[in-house]
This record gives sequence, C-alpha cells and structure tokens, in this order.
Amino acid sequence: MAGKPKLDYRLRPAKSIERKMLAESFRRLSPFGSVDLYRYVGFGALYFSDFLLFHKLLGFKHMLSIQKSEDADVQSRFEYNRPFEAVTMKFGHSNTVLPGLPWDVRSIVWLDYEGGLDKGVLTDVATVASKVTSGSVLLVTVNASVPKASSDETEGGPKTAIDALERDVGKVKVPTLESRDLAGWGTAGAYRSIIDNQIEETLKERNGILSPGARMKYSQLFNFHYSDGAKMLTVGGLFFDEAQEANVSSCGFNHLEFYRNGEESYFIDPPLLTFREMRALEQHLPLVNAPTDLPISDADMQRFDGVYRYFPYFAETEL
Amino acid sequence: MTATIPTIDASPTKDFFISIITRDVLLDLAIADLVDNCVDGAIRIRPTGDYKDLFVKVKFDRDSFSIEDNCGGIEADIAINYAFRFGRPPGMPETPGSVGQFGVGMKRSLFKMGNYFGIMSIAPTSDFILNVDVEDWAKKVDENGKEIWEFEFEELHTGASHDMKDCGTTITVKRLHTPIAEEFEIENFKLRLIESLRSKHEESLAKGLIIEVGSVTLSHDEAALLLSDEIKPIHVANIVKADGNPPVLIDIYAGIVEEANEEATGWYISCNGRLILKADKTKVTGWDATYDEKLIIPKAHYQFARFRGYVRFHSDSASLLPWNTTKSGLDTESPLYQSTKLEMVGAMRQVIDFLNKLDAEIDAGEDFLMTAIKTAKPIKIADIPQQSLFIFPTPKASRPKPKSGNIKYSKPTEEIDLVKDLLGVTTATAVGEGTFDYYLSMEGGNRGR
Repeated sequence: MAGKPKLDYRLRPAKSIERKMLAESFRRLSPFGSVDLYRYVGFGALYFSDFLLFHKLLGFKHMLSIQKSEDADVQSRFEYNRPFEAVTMKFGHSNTVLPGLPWDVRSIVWLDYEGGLDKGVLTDVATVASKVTSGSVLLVTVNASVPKASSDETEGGPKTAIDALERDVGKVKVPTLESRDLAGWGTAGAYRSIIDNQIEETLKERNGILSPGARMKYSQLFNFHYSDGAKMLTVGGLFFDEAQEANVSSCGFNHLEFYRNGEESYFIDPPLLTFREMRALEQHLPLVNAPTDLPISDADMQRFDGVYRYFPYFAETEL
Repeated sequence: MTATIPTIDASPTKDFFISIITRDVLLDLAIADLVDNCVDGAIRIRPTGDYKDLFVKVKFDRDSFSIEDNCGGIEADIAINYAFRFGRPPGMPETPGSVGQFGVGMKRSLFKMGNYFGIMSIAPTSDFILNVDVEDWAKKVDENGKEIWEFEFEELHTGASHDMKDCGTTITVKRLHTPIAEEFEIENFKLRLIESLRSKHEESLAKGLIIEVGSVTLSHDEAALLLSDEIKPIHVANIVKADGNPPVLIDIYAGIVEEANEEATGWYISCNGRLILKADKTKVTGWDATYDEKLIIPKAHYQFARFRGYVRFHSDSASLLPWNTTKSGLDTESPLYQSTKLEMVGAMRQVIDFLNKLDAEIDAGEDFLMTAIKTAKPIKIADIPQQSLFIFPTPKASRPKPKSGNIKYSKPTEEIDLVKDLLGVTTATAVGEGTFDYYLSMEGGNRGR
C-alpha cells in the first residue's frame, strides 16, 4: 500500500458509485410503467444524497423519506434540509411507518440502514414483501461486519459470532454455518441469504391464497459488496406478478455489468487515482488496449474501467 | 386353488367415537357445538339474517341436559341419510354460510355427556323421535360379529305439513357421565358456559337470536371501535376466490376503544359468525414478536389495553374457513390465515404505534391524543368504512427534549465518604454533582461551563 495516496476528499466513493449504478438500473423499469411515476421510499438522513440524485436523474415526483426522530427540533431540521417539494418527510420508526403507507403504487424502496442485520430489518423486509405491487423494487443496505460476540463471557452474552447472529436475527432464521464462515465477506453472504429467505417466506404466505398467474415473485437484481471503511452489503431485487414475467426480461437487467441474481456478489472496488491520472486514463476508455505510457497498474486500470461512468468527482465547493 | 390374500380391517370402531374423540372437546365447547346446529337451522330458514323470535334454550342439572330450539327442525331424509353419519358424507346438501361443517360435532357432544340421548324433531314436511341407549348401541353386532351402526327411529312421519313456527328440535341427554353431572352442578361452569356462548355466538345474538342458559337470557355487546374525523380505524375487506369454490370474504378491523381493558385487548376472529379466537394476544395473531420494547409487535402490555382487532371470515362453504374441528382455535397453517395474518400484523403495528405515542404523551403529562380519543365515538364494526390505514392526529409540536436528566450509580460507602470529605459536602447527591462538575470543568474544554 505504501506510496498510494490516501485521499480524504473522497467521501464514501463506493456508496456514491452504488447510487449511480442503481439509478441506471431504475431506468430499465419502464416496461412496468413510466419511471418518473414510481414512488421512492428511502431513509434520506440530513443529506438526502439518494433523493437528490434520483430526483435529478429519474424525475421521481413522489419521494418519501422516513426518519426515526420524534423530537420537534430535530424534525424541523430535516424539514429545513428537504431538497425538493417532491420529498415528503415521515417521522417514526420504519417498523411502524412502512405498514402505514399506501402500497397500491409501484415503488422503489431503499432501506439503507447503518447497522447490521437484525429482527427490525427483517420486519421491514417482510412488510414490504407482503405489500408491494408488481414492478416494485426493494433494496436493503446493511453493515456486514462480523456480528460481535460479547467480550465478557460472564455477562451471558453471545459467545461466538454465530451466537451473536442468532441473537440479532432470531435463531430460526440462521442458516447452518460455523463462526468462521462469517469471517471476511462471509457475514454479507449470510445476511443476503437470510434476507432472501425472509422474502421467500413472506411471499409464500402472501401467495398461498392466490391463483397461479396472480402470484407475486421476487427476482434478485443486486448483490453489492463495498467498503468505505466498514464492509457493507446492498441486496435487492424486483417484485412482479407471474403474469408479468415477460416484462422482467424486457427490462434487460441482465445486461447490466453489476447485475447479480444469486450468491455471487458485485464488488464495488474503486481504484485510488489522482484526477490527472483519471483524466489521462479516460481517453482510453472503455478499455480496449490498455495504454502502456501511464504509471498506473493494469489492475487499477481494469478497476477504473468498471466504474468510471459512475465515478464521483468530489471537489471542495458550494453546490 | 389359488390362495387369497387376506385384507386388512381398517374400519373404525364405535368405541373410537364414543370414548376417544370425545376427549378432544371440552364440555362448554361440546355444548357450543350443539348450539351451532341450532344456528345452522336459523341460517337455513332465515337466509336474510333476521333471527327475530328464534330461540335456543339450554338446560341442565345433575340428572339431565337438554337443548331446545325453534329453528326449523331436521327433515327425515336429512336424518336418515346425513345428520347422524360420522363425518360429512358427499352429496349432503350444504347450508350456505353454515357453522357446522365436520359432521362430528353433534354426535361427539352427545356421547361426551351421557349414555342415553333422545332427539325430537318437527320439520316442515316430517317429524320423528329417536332414542338411543349408547351402551346397547355399542354392543349391537350382526350375525357375522360386525358392528351395526344404525340407529332406529322410535317414531317417524313423512309427508306431513307443519307450520314453520312449530318446527324445531329438542335434544335430551340422560344417564350423564359422572364427571359431567358433577360439572353441571358447579355454578362457575354455568357462568363459564354463558360467557363462552355469549362471545362465540355474538354475531348471531346481534341478528336477534335468543339464547337462554337456564333462566339467563344471553346479552351481547356488539363489537365497536372509536371513530371520529381525527381517528379512523382500519377496515380491510378482501375476497379470496379459488377456482370452483365459493368466495371467502375476509374483513379485518383494527383500532382502539376508549376504555383500557387488558383482559379484553387483542384479536377476535370469527368464521361464519362463530367466534373462534377471543382477545388473543399470542404469536398466533402476531403478538409477541418482540426484540425491543417498542418495536415490531410487543408482548401485550397495559399500554396496549385499548387495542382491538376483529377478523371475520365468511363463506358459503364452511370447509374453506381456517378453523379446527372443535372450533376452539384456528388452523394457523392454512394459506388463508397466513395471508390474513400478514394484513393483521401490518394493521396492528399502526395501532400500536399510536398507543406508544399515547403512552409517551401520558408520561409527558399532555393530553392531545387523549382528547382525540375522548371526542371519538364508538361505531359498530359493521358500519366502519373501508380504510387501509389507521388515521390519528399528529401532535403539532412533539415534546422538546428534557433539559435535564438523572444519573444513578452506586459506589462503596467508604469511597463516597472519602469524596464527601474531599469535596466538603455532606450528601451523596452533592458528591454526584460535585464530581460531575469537576469532570466537566477539567475535560469539557470550551463546551464545559
């Protein structure tokens, strides 16, 4: 790593790339209906980064940000920072806000949590899966660090990472694993299957009474891994009526380079390059023959080739 | 000569019906089952649902039990071909929207109670009297030693013409089993039965059916939820239609009542007007999925005592509904119930959210939401308009953060006394404040005082 620049101007670049990749894929939803008529539901926080990008690129007219705070002063700060008239604030815990939303409108729901996977997250996943209409997208982002065992064994807390995972999501939801399976990106993998299982279970309950053809299905589109410090997982996909299966293929999600419909993940791994290097490199992109006159490793060129269209250019400026 | 392979006898025994399956049903539920037959009669003769002047009279003491109704009687052909069969034979004419459906309730109830029963029925075109000595019947076999299952009529008239107002059924059970006779003597059993019948048949009572237990005529409170311009309960109406079957109508109501009552809070689930689950606050209805005090669906605490949820399943074909054979519980694995439960949990979470806010408001000494509750009026659930979200007023400015908080910890007395000396104070409170102030001034930098 020596000699490589550690840049502090790059604020969570992978997250920024992820947002742009998602925006690009949302455009492909048009076989289900005009994309700007989708409702976007997210956790905008104070910065509303996702709301800003999606509104500008996709023209969503109906956006809803869920914020937990119930304090009047804090709420007014969120209202103050609300970037567009199109954005509505809903204050309360997502566990209680989500069931109270109308669900007869096609939606893109991004549950972008800061913490790890827990029962609260799975409750939200179940709520969305039980209610969304055909053509809707659900995304879940969680911190995929290894679940923390208790440092003090006398406390009676979880002794292993698996125990900790069972505590967080409930014993019955944990696949057969050993603690070492959770090391590295293993936790992200386990989280993905637990979320997937939850969606499957909820859809089974929802579909039991529906006749074939009217049943709701789920198809995973994204399985992003990235690390802007902590290891993060974003998993998500599309809900659709069996009868609309043809629409799914006409969306052509599988043409997206970062499309992942199973366990395999797409790792957002932006190289650390200077502006000068990036500009020089961009003249050769998309990469056909790698230039030999640049002081950049082949690996970094390949990595940049994968993400340059979504690459953030941070500068210190008032926007 | 070819050897014949013997067959295996899998036929049931009478004893199975007399002494085994009767263990599955509690006495009050067995009686409720007999009342179900009366209600089915009412449904048959008054499909419009006006049960005015129809009655069911239940009487018992240590010697006998009887149930009498004027709900149309049992026609002879039904009695001969269907009513006394064990299980529901194919081809039996169905009562649309009926509550009796398994063809097991009446016989099971009679066997459970005693060794002798009599049935007297007057129906529009026939009447009969049937007396059964259960012990004699149990012993009856044919010349080959095979059990004879038939009952014999004492009297039977077909081709008669009876006025509907004279039609009805009277069932009497005598030679009661000892435990049953003892139960019938207990006043509390009678009270429990009254409460059980009252809640289970609330919807029939609301339609005008008179049910008497001894000298008590059952009253009923019709389910109601608070409604106003500001507070609107949830009412989701779904229709489930599978190919070739009559539809199942599902109405889900969730909201609040004015008076907090911990015992009465929970879900009430009925199938074709018959209450199956009462004030349920268990995992069956989605409670108790707790991981954090205030989230998901907590265990039922006092603060949720205003919650009420009602689910009413209705179908012309009773067999499509999610109940078990004793009608004492739900078939929780049925797809119909599983999908309904998803709706119930979503509805309940919205109401719980309101009740949490109400609880926080009470703690803060305010009354914005309570005023909204007080100005709302109870409305019968049948009159609640469809509304998929629980509506309640949002307090304009929520509570400001408290300006001060308490810190509490314990330390050895010896050390506290030492710090008292060092600070020159005399109370533990002053030790706490003094050490806090000291830390803040030393470590707090500009942010300290």
